[in-house]
Amino acid sequence: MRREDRVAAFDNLYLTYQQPLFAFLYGQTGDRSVAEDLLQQVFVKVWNSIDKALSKPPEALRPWLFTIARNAAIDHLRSSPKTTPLEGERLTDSSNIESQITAKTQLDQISQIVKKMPEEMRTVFTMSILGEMPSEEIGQLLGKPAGTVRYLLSEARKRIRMELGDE
Amino acid sequence: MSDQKFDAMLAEWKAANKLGPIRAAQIRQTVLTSPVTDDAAWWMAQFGALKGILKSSTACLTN
Repeated sequence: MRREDRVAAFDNLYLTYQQPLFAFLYGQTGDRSVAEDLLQQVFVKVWNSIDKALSKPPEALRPWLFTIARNAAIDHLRSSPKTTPLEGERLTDSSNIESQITAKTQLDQISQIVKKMPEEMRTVFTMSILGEMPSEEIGQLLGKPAGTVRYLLSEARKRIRMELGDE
Repeated sequence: MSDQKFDAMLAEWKAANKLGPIRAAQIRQTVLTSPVTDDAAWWMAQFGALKGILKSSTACLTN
């Protein structure tokens, strides 16, 4: 295959999967900038195996891409010290946290709340909101029933509202 | 906060946190200019080396 054809095929994959994979990586790591770096690593692997990618049937391509992304996230989490706060720590429970966030916008607060979510909930939330993926598809990729995905999504929304002081 | 207002806020958060087109284009450019590290080629080279060792070992044993 000529390089131009490879690039065209790569672009097609990139356009289709950049947002879902970014959303997944954001959910796995809780860090937007790390997710961007990992996305690059994932697509370097894809580009290096573009012939293999193109030989896959469409139904096998998506799981293959998400496996590469999952492995990239696992490697990253293994190699970096844990910097995310402990799960269950609440933003609005103490006044000193309140003082820390007074200068922040509500959007920054949402990012902080998302970062503090348990990984499973965060991944479902980012795949749904940023990746615009339906619950069934998220469930298939994460190996969970769609009902569980919907429950986690609903809990994530509740948590954001609660921690924004909405309840 | 009404559901409508909350959804609007999430939509704003989404717009601010999606992979932006400029960053997406940078990543694409970096990927397409990255050096090729072909895993398959590496394994083939290892296999070739192993085959050579086995062949010479067999030759030693038969001689």
